[in-house]
Amino acid sequence: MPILNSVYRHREAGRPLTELAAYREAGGYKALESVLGETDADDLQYAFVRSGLRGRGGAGFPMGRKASFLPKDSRLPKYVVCNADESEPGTFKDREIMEMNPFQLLEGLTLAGYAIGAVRGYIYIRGEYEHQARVLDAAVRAAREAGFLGKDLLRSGFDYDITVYRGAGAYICGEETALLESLEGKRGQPRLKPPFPAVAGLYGSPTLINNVETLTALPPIVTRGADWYAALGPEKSPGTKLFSISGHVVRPGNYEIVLGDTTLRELIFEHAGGLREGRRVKAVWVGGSSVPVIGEEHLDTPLDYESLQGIGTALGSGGCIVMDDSGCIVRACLRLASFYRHESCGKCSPCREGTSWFERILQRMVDGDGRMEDFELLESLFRRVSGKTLCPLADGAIAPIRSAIKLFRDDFIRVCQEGSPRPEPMLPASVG
Amino acid sequence: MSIQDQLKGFGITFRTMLSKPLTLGYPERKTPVFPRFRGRHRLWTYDNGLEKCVGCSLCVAACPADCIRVVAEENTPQLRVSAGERFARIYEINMARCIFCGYCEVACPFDAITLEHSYELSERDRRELVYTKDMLLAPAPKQAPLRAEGQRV
Amino acid sequence: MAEYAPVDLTVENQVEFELDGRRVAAPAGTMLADACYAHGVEIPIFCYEPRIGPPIGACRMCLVEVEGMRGLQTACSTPVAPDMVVRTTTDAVKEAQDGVLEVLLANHPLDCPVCDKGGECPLQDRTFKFGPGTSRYVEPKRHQPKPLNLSHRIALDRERCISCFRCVRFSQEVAQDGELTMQERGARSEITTFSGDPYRGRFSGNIIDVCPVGALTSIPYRFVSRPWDVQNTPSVCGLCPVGCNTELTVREGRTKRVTGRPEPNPAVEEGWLCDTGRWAYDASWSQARITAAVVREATGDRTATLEDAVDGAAALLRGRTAGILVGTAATVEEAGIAADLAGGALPGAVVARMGIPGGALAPLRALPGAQLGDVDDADLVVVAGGDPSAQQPVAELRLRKARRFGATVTGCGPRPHALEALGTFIRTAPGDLAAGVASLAEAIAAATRPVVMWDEADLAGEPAAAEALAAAIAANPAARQLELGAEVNGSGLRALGLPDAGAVLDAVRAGTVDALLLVHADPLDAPGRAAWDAALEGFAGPVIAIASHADATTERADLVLPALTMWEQEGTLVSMNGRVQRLRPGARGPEGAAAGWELLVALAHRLGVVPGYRTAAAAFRAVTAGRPAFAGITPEAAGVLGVPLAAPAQVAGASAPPPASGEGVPLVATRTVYGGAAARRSAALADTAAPAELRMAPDTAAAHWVNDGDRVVLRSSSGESGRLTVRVGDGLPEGVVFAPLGAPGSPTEGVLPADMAPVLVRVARVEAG
Repeated sequence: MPILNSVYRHREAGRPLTELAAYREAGGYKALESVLGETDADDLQYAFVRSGLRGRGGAGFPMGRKASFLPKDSRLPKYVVCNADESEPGTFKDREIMEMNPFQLLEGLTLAGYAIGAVRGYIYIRGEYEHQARVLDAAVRAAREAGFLGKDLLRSGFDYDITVYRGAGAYICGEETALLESLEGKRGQPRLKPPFPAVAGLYGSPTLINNVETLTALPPIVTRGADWYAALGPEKSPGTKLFSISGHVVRPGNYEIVLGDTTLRELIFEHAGGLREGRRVKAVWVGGSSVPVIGEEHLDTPLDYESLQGIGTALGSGGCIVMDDSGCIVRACLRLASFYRHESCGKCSPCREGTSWFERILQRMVDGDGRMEDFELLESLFRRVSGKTLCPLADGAIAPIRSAIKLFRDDFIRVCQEGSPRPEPMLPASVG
Repeated sequence: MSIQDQLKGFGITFRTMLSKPLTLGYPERKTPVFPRFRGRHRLWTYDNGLEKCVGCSLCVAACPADCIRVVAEENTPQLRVSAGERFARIYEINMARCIFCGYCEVACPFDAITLEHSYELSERDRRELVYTKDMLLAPAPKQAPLRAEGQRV
Repeated sequence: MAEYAPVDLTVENQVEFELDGRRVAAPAGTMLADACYAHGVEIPIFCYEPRIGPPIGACRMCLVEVEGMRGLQTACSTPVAPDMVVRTTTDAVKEAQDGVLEVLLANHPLDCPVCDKGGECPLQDRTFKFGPGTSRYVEPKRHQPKPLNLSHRIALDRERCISCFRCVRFSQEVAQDGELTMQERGARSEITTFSGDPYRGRFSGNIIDVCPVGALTSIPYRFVSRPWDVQNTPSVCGLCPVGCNTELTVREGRTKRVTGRPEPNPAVEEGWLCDTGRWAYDASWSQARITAAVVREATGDRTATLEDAVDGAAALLRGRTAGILVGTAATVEEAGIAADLAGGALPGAVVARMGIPGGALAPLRALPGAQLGDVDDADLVVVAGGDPSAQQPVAELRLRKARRFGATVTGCGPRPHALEALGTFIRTAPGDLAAGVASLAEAIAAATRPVVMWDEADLAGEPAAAEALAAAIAANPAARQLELGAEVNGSGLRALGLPDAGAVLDAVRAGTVDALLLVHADPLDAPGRAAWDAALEGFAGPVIAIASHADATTERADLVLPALTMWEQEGTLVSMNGRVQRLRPGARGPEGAAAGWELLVALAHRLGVVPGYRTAAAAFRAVTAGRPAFAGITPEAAGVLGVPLAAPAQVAGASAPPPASGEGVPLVATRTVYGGAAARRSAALADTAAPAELRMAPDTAAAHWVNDGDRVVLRSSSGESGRLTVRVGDGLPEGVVFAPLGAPGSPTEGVLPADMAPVLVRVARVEAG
């Protein structure tokens, strides 16, 4: 299927662009060349604001506005940090970009650095992405040799370099302040906010943190214009978005769609090839595992920030996990609870103890030892934990379970009474 | 004093002569006590011989007469006295001060101390009224009879 | 409790806000938790500890409702703002408190009956006050093997830990020893040292004080008593001149624990104690303790009752002219009564104090002085000479705090030390501190609020440097000096006007005195001891010692009167910064011992002069009455936190020490609080004993034909040292040798003159390593 309007050059070109020459051939670094020395940093920042680009990491905060929060007159050096700690379950879009199209990320990161007057960019890549880190390293070297990084970029007087920093395998380091702590060489745990990273981030300096996908979208915004980008999709969530589809679908993978143009049903049944024969959609986590789960009745919702919010879930990171009616929702919740218990950093008490309590209760349910009062207990714990923690991890742990209990209460009651037998191993065919 | 008054007085005397005497032949006969009677303390052990008392001193905190003294020590593999981490190396109750209120029993988190029925606690020397842990671990040397259901003395 | 930062509600321009319907005010920038506490509203906290550093908001216990802010806010990290509306008792807040306590207790073992913290545990208290009555946790609790030894003195019970990070932050930010960290994550997080080795630190014990649960407990205090079994007495530490305020925990007449005060003294130690001050208390019943009077007779030693011994002492002293020597750790009362004996009971007696004469330091001491707490708002802290990390422990923490607060730290000195990493330090050649001082003068002049810390021992030996430093401080009117003293009560003894020990030494040599009374004085273990050895050799008169522990001098004495220690007696000590603070008796001493001041009063009685006082407080008033340095200072005024003495008037400098004479290599001696005499007597600190080592660079060792491990003696013009073991270390300056003062047997003291003037020593090998 040809991809229209793709902002990602490797998708447009239909092949990996891991060589600088190939990337330049596909129109790479035109944006940087057109900007450096020509455009004022503030104008560039304004272009980002006008494009309406929203952060693609999960929270969906407008990128341009975030950049404008950085103090203009700070004595401290400024930094741009690219959050490539793609750890959200079901999300693998950044991986594709870094693997296939590293230069566009570097170009975007450089543009962001130019827009805020940063001295250095960092790419914090998750520890498990070993191959991708190597690709990025090679790309950084190539870009440096070609003069796209280092001192006096393209003789514009702008000094900028990029460091690729590998994490050590912690979900929490996708949280921006925990990422900064880890990048500083400390234990990866969220910081108390305020101060926000825009004021006191990396090494206490003003720092702009953006997701891989967000930064990679910047070069096309510069070359084709902010208005072009803003015109894609609905007014409030313009642009295209990579969705990672996984789970019980025939063709799991990354699909780029224009926000608002495609419904969830189209994404699952047209792009991802639908479900296995005779199966129905039971549950979908649209934006990674940390968003409330939705059922079959919401399949016709268009995929954009506002519409998804309207049905009580969120676009999140675009990691769409589909479960058909062969799976047990309680077991799925237990799996998620285990994940969040394992990934809770342990800094704040409600999350540290709460996530492990959730897991234990769900484990008991799956073992058939659930009690009716456990629903009340869970709801009370959710109320006591959510919104009271240092970072959104606990909220991410609560949202899918809380919504699942609401949506599939009958399943939960049945499992509480009967337990949930271990599922049959999936047939190889089911992964398409 | 009139003759009537004298007769009245003797009337009581004669009437009482016919009823059963109220005095008891203590110490040959001991007054039975109610099951809830609070007498001499007893420290308890588990069936495996380990002391229930962990030397937490909560009885000391509860005691209004300040008559208990506990000095704790840590159990070691060589010397394991109680089931917990610590045990009472010294456990003393000064019976001269004790008011038998039973707060120690209420305070004890391990049911290690109870107030039993024995009430014969007199000694010739006040110093002997400081009961040590060994004394408290052993059953009372002078047991008191328990009052049966509905029994009147 | 001191867990909340003190809030000064008297300053101008406070921020007004609404607290639970009341209009209240607090200075701008005050955190809500502190401001509320100051206004009588307790907001429960666990991780917040303002002394450690900025809030981290980890425990989520302090959530409150602030109108206009989404969700609940952590009171520990939200500063007060004008017209902010704060509610601390709403249902939402109650629910949050219940929730946090419920999850904290879910896996907490609740073994309170066997936990040492039980009864004084913030988690217990706050659960009672703010928590839910019951738990809905039916799952099995997480269990860990019971306590690990985090060090020889600290037990770690991991299942009790609530991950408040206070200990880790103390280690990383306050002590900056970089030892503690959290390992694993989530519910499996646990405290450990980076290396897995025991926690090595100079201030490790403070983590016990800051722990809000029973996860970190003191091993020497393990299962020793419960809070309702003990009396707590606020007192002062008398092991070094810093004068940290302590709290003694006493059970059945014995000191069982020393902790930082729950209400710390912000001008001195801020609640932190060094490990020696915390654990040396069992020295009070060590082997070396003198528990009964000893009378030395031709037929041998015999013990005597206190009555008989005082009678005996009076008999020995009657009709004689006595030399009275007061030790540096003696209280103001003891020293004052001893000094007053000269005019009354022992007419003609010569009274002097031990310690550094320091005549050249008078101009420095007369400059405006700072308390340790003033270092916090200095913009420049200069350390001239010395090594606070070894000699004045808690001063190290204040220095590190100043650095954390943004002050520039700089300094000079002849020895490498741990604090050199805090800033630019100039290593001076021994005897040439003046050069270092000269290079610091410019920085002192340029700073807006400089505090100059100067080492008494180093500068006493180098009058030129002292003079230059005084001039540099005087040149900047905003500059203040802060003495890093060498002696526990040196300031107190000087304020009483006692001359240095040379006066008694000269009298002994000249034969003008024919009896010696030593009050906590041990001239045979102090610098200049060679001279005393020689003088006492030919001294025929009786020697009477008032002492708490056996030492070289009590061995030589004809009669020893057992005295109480600082943990047992009442008295007054003056810290190195001139702060008058009171010792309060916690423990009872041994049966046969009495307070030094009582022994002296009894002696005066026996000698026919009846002093007019019977209490330590009355004695303090009497002995300070005629002494202008103590004008206006009473025991009541000293209160709990102490009061500083006025700066002494400048007196004409006494004789300055002569320049180093003789030949050989310069020796730099460092006093050790860690592993010093008190620490050696304590079983808990046995592993910290400072070895008698002579450290030098490899080239220096080669030049003196010694190798690592050799046993050597040093000889100088002042005398000969005991045996020292050579330790060759990289990173030491060449052409200098380093030795500790206060090592077992006091070997180094033998080569040093009493005035601490620089010495050159010859190194002689006596035994190959």
